[in-house]
Amino acid sequence: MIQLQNIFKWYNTANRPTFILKDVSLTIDEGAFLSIMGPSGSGKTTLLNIMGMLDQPSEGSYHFMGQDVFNLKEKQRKELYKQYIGFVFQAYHLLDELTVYENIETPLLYQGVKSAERKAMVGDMLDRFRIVGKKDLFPSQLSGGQQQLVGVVRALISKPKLILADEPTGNLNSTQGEEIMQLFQQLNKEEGVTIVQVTHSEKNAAFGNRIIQLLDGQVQD
Amino acid sequence: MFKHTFKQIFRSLWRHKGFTGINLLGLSLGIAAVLLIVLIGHYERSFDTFHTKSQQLFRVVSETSRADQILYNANVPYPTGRFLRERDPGILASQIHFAEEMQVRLGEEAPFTEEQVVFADSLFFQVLDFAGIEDFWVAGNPATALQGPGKVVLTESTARQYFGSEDPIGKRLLLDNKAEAEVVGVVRDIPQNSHLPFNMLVSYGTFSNDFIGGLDVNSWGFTGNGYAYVRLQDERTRSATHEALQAIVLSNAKSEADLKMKMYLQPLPEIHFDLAFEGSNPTYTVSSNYLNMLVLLGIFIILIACINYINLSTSFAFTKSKEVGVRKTIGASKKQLFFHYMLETFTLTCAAAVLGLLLALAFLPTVNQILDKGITAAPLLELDFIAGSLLALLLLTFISGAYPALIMAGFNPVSSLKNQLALPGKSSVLLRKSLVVFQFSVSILLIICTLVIARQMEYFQDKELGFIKEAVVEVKLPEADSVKRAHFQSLLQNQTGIQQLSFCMGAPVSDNGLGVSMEAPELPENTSYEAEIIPCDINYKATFGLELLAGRWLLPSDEKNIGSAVVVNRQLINTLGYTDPKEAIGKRITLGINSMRPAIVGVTEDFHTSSLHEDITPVALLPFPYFYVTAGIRLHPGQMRNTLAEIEEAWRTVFPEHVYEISFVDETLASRYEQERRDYQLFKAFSVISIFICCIGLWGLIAFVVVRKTKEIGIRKVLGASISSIVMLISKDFLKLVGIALLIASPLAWYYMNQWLQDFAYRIEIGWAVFLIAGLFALLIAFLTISYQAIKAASANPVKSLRTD
Repeated sequence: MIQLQNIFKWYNTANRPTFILKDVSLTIDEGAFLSIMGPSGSGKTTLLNIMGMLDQPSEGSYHFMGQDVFNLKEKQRKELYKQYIGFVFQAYHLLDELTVYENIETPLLYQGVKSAERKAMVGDMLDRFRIVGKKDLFPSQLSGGQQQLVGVVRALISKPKLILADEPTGNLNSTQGEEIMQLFQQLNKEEGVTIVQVTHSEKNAAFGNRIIQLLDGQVQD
Repeated sequence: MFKHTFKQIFRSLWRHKGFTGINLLGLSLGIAAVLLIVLIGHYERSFDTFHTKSQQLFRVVSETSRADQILYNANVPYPTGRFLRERDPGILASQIHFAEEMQVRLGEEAPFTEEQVVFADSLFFQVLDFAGIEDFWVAGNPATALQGPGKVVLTESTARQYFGSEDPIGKRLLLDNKAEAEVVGVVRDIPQNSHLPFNMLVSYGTFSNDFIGGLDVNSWGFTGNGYAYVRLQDERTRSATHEALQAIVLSNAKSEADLKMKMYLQPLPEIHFDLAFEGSNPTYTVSSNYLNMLVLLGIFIILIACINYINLSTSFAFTKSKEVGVRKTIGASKKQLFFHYMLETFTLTCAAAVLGLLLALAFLPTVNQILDKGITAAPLLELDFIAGSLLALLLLTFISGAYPALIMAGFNPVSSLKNQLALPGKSSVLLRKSLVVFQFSVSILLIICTLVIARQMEYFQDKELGFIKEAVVEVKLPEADSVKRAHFQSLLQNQTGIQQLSFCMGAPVSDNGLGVSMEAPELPENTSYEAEIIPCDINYKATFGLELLAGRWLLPSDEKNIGSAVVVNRQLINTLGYTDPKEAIGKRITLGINSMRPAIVGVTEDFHTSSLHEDITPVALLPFPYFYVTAGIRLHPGQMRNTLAEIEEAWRTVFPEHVYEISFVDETLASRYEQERRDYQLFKAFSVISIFICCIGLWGLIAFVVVRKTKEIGIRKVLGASISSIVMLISKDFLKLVGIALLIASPLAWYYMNQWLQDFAYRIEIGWAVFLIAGLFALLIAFLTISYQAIKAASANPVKSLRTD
């Protein structure tokens, strides 16, 4: 599903390049549950953002579902992204002004899904994750775990094939964290959703079926 | 999609109340100002539009070349209308006489003064038909109403005022104690946007010499208050009219200079805007430039408000960057985000428009009061206006919203989520600074204008006019009758409150004026010279404190031998070519009134006979009791109230049949500066609004700066910086901008105000003090605006601000 080849990413500081990623090559098959680990500043998030097409590398090639991502036009890339990818963040990043229901609904709005269909899809998700009772609350009225749950649901609403999670449990306590991890595992096993997560925690990494270590922008084998 | 977006927009606007409030306030004030300007403009442009085919309507006017200027006159000799009709029956011409005021008496009741009475001949309603006014005729027959003598048509208000609910038709009035007339018709009130307002129409057959002080209404020799209107339905009548007007000039020219006079047709829609005829129009005239300037001011004010929005939104964008990042990661396209934020602007603009509309409606009565107009809000409901304002709203949304929306839609999602968004780039900071400079330039410009106008108005008050204007009243005398004058004077003889009493035509600056042609052996031929005659008795000099330079003042004997002696002012002998007043004594001049040829017996120092708009003109003080229609009375300032009561009582004893009218000379003078007073009010209001909008914008900007600099302030404080040094740190940049604005605004204001001052023959010099005051004022206001938040930020505990980071 994902083929990264010789990915470099650097910034110029004082006319000298500072490398974030150095020659990263990585293949992720459909149905995988990959955990990326490594110390702060090792380039985990950058790698995740590149996979999620939010960021571009300085060098290298990226094939997603057989398409050469960096040779696509912005619009096509956006389409690809909307169709297949869902993001989950450490800080949840829910829209403060929207209710739970509306937060979950927003990606569908951007995709131009019809009103009736939207209603059905959001309703399904609310049922499935047992948050119907919270649908009219605003993010500030929820606990961290609940907020992250909404974040995951929002990422799932457009039925992505790939979920990219940047330290999804970083702001949660261990019980809440475990619940989210179990949810990921379930999605991965039962629905075949490919999951790539960045994490500091060995325990969380163990929920997946593959772990890579990043150090100073390089994959350690 | 729309519904959702709107819901989000409303919640977002509600959550950021400060941001919303500042923008709403600024935009709605701007919109209110523009709406009021649109209403004013619409009102002025609507003058005289209620007649059928107004492009067929014209007024006969004239222009005369004088030695150094061209005189324009909207008044024409009284026989003009009839002459045109008789010359060619195809010409629809109507002659009228416009009386500023007239005494009216109903039965045995006490007389009162009616203002704006028009004597009109029977063709009046064929020329000016008022057809645009719904059901114009309430009662009576327009075809016959003004035929024959003794007919009166009242407006509804006048009829109600005179007769209450009774049927006015058939009622009789006594006009000026001279003619009786019967009410034969009632029409709707004449709208205030008519250049020819009237409360009463009297049939022209009623008009006689008596109504114009005994002058001959059939004479071609003077114009009085006569106007002639024509309706031209085809080319033939148009050329016939031109030819007839030529004939009038030709047959009445007495000298070669007279042949230079031109009589021509002025289109009716132009009357309200042609300043050349300002002096002879029945109501005020407004220049198109003035209206354009208003529109420009309105645009400036709304731009200032838009700039607030742009500056606050772009600053605010960095606070909103996380939201943009989230939206992008869940699939929002650039286009969708741009649309979203444009819609947010549009929502705010619409809310501001509603608020602005309410503000405008609330302030309309005040504006009407200040400008003395009858502007209604009705045009706001017209289709054109609604379509126009929708377009304007879209434009406004685009101007204010496009740049911030573009910036926000362009955020990089990764950095905005990490809160690593680079601080605004150099170009966007430069843009913001330039916009602030623009705002303050406009405000300072307006402040300077206001100050200059205020100083010129002070000058009106303080300028020595060459005569005493304080505590002097003009009391109207209904008849120039020497017996009654003597009676009146004897009744007031023992009044200690009166310093001086003089019978005359009027004070040096008065509503009564008599301009005549002047000839003398010293003057070149073929050029017309004009002099102002002030008929007055021997007490005039003492009453008004005139200064005699040479010769003698008038003697009682001069009055018995009218036309033998005259006292003139310095300007008149200068015109004759004398520099030494003594040289002029004994010289004779010919005045265009009964072809008098009096000898100059005395010369006075110059004094003003009109407002400071005009140069001092040649003046001849002539003993001529026939024109003594005013008693000029100088009072002792201490006991005016009692004295005024005594004067009124004496007057009523002598003239029991008439309406008592008194006016203070300084007030008459002040009324000559109405336009300037309005300009002043207008500029003051605009200055206040613009500086206020600038300041709330500045307030908002500073709020963002303070937030962004919280950490820096904390560090500096830990390092030992004082509060004042931190306040300066925050304020410095902005105060610099105000300084730059002053440099930009000053030359523009200087140029513009110099133009404005050209209207006055006597004017102030624009000194540097005005710029200094305006600059300091703007700096002070800006500093006060900034300092509240700056001091708050500077006094905050640094431990707190550093910890939050």
